[in-house]
Formats: sequence, C-alpha cells, structure tokens
Amino acid sequence: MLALVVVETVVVALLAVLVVGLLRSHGEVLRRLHELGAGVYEPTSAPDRGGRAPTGRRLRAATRAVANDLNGVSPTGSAVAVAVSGVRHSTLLAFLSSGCSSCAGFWEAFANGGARDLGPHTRLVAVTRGPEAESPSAVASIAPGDVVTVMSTEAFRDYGVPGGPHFVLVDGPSGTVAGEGSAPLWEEVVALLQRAVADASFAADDVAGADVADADGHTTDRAGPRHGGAGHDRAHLNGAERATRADADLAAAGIYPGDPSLYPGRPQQGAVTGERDGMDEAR
Amino acid sequence: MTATVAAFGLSVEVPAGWEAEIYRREPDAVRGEVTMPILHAANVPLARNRGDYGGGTVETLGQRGVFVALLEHDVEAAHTALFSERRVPWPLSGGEFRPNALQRNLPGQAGCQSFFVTAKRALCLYVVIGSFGLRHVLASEANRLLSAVRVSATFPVAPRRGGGSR
Repeated sequence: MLALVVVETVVVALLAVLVVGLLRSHGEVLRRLHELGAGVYEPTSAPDRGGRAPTGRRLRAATRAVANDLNGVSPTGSAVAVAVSGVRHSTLLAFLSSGCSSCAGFWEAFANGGARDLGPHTRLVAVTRGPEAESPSAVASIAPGDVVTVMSTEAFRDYGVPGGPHFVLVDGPSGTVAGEGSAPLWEEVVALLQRAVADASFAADDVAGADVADADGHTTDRAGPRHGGAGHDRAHLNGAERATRADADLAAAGIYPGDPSLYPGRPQQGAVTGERDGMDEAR
Repeated sequence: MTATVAAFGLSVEVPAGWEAEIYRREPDAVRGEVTMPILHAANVPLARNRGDYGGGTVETLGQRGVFVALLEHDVEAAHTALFSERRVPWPLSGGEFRPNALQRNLPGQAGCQSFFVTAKRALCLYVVIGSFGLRHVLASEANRLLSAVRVSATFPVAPRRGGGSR
C-alpha cells in the first residue's frame, strides 16, 4: 500500500512538472506570437477622438504617422518607385507574402477584382519582402496582373510591419498613415476601411461646423489627419482645388470652358476647341 | 526622401509625387522578338498594365498630369539619320508640345517626341502632358523629372530574347 502511495505521489509530481513546463511553453508561444502581431483581429471598441477610426488594431502613434513612398522591384524584375504621399488619392498597402496561408485569401480576392471594393479614390498596392527574402517567381505566379506589386523589404521596415497579412492606409494629400491593422478576410478589411473613412468624414464635418460636445460635455478633438480614402471628402478642398476638380469633372464629361451648355441663355458662338485653348493659355 | 530607380544602365531620382518604373518587356520567343530597356515615369499612378508609349496611363493624366517614356532602340539605330541628335533633348520648352504629336490623340493633351544618342545608346524620349493650354507649366514639371535622369554607357546593351510578358 505504501509503495502504491509513493508511486502515485511520484507520478503526480512528474505530471505537475510536465504541466508547469507546458504552461511555460504556452506562455512563451503566446509572447512570441504577440511580438509577431498576432491577436490583431480583435477590433477595438470605439474610434479614437482624432477622427481616425481604428482598423483591426490600434493606429500607430503619431511618431509613425509619416508615410514613405515605396521603392523596390516588381516580381518580373523591373525597378519601381510608387508614390503614396503627396498625391491626390489614398493608397491601401497590403503587406503580404507568397508563402503564408493566411495571405492566400487576399491574393485570391485581389485576383477577383478586390481593388474595386476600395472605391475610385483608393489605390491598392501589394507589398512583399524583397527578392532576398521572397521568391520573385512565386510572387509573380500569385500576384494579379492588374494590381501593382512591389517587392521591398525596406517598405516592411519603414512601416514597422512584422509580417503579413497587414494593411496600412495612407492618406495621399497629407502623406500620413491614416490607419493600419489586419483581419482574416478581405471583406473585413474593406469593412474596417469603410468605417475608418466614415469616421474621418464625421471628423471633417466636425471641423467644418460648430464645436460638437460628446455625452460627457467634452468637445471633440479635431486633430486627425485629412482623409482622402474611398469616400474622399470634397469638403477638404479649398477654393482653387474645388475649381480644378470641377474643371476636371466637366472635362471628363466633354465640357470645356466656353461650352454652350454652360450658357443656356446665350446664343452659340465659335468653335469650342479654339476658345478652350485660348482660355487655357490665358490662365 | 527621394527614391532612386535604377536598372539596365538607366536611373532616375524620382521627385516627390512622381512614380517610375524601368523595365524590359519579356520578348516573344515565337516571333523572335528583341526587347530593350524602357523608363516610364508619371506624376499620376502608373497603371499596372500599360503600353510602352503609356497607353493605360495617359488616359488618366488629368489636366496637370505628365507622362514620360524613355525608350531604348537597337544600338545600330544610333547610326541612322533619325538619331542624328547627340545631346539629350531636355530641358523641354512648352513650345515643343503639339496636340498632334501624340501616339494616341486624347482631347486637350499634347506630346513631344525626340530621338537622340547619348552614352552611345539610341534613345527616344516621349512626353505626354494633360493640357496643351498648360504646356509651359507642365514642361517645367517634366523637366523636374528629366533633370534627374542618368544614362550610363557601362550597361552592356544586349537585346533580350525569349518569351512571356513583362
């Protein structure tokens, strides 16, 4: 009987050591996963007060707000530079890998026209690590032909991306990171982006109007960056920008300065083309 | 921070707001095609799929857009009359742009094209601007990029032969 008790005690002690070891190992695994950015799928509860709604995880601190243009190579060996700051459109940078299983769904979504979900004012650019870390032929085989794909380890470093999939939304006019994060599905990324855009528009309205106090009586902070994303807000434009944009929209519709349709009460005059050139020249 | 794009003995320091690509199209092996280096740059997004003369991108220029293409030709072409000019054609002036100098005529746009030899390489410069009326302003914008273009003679101009696409 005593021998049985001793054996059981030894077994229990061994099991206890084993459990402790497993817990430590589990803790280490979680710690490493956290370092790699895992656990980013839990959406935060509310948009921050800067009008920048969080995407999959919290936005970068202000020190990371400046967005760098991309410089690298294409999967087919071209040398490329892609502008994301100082441009009129927003850019959604999709940091992916050709090998990770969680990235496969995004490549597939892009091949199925996923970029169209972003709207006309947001450009999708896929980014992988450079040829020293990724196989260009593997990336070429998986990257859709109509999506700009840049292989650049430097971009991963610049944006502090631990690994794919990870998404960064850059506001082109201000050249700042408007939001970043991740989600397991492309549809969720799009939804998070749309929410961020809606919140940014809300902030813009706030800037244009009177002070808005929240339920606690605190006025809303309006310091968020301008946002030119899928819902690019014309309220952001100044007078000259609005005039330029109106000219561009009219030109796209085939209406140029001097077009008779702009002067419904006036009798038609000479050739529109000649008038247009003359007026443009005079500007 | 200015990015430098370099390949095949061509390089450009890309100004802010511009983007650029230097590539050599994959030749069609069946047709025995030979391809040469091409530099594209624009102050609008370069479309992923575009023609060597900017088809796919020039349609999106808008009034203030500029598209620049520098296309290399066979070295033998350097000895033809077409390539008799021995200096780079930039800086450009607004007067060099003509609406009828476009590969594809688009309303309001204008273009200019020059053939020249530099660093023993035969090159064609083709520039499209979004507005003929703004040609003087847009020529300056084009010069902002062109002034940072470098052509090296050290590149072994070996035509690429094979099959596939860019």
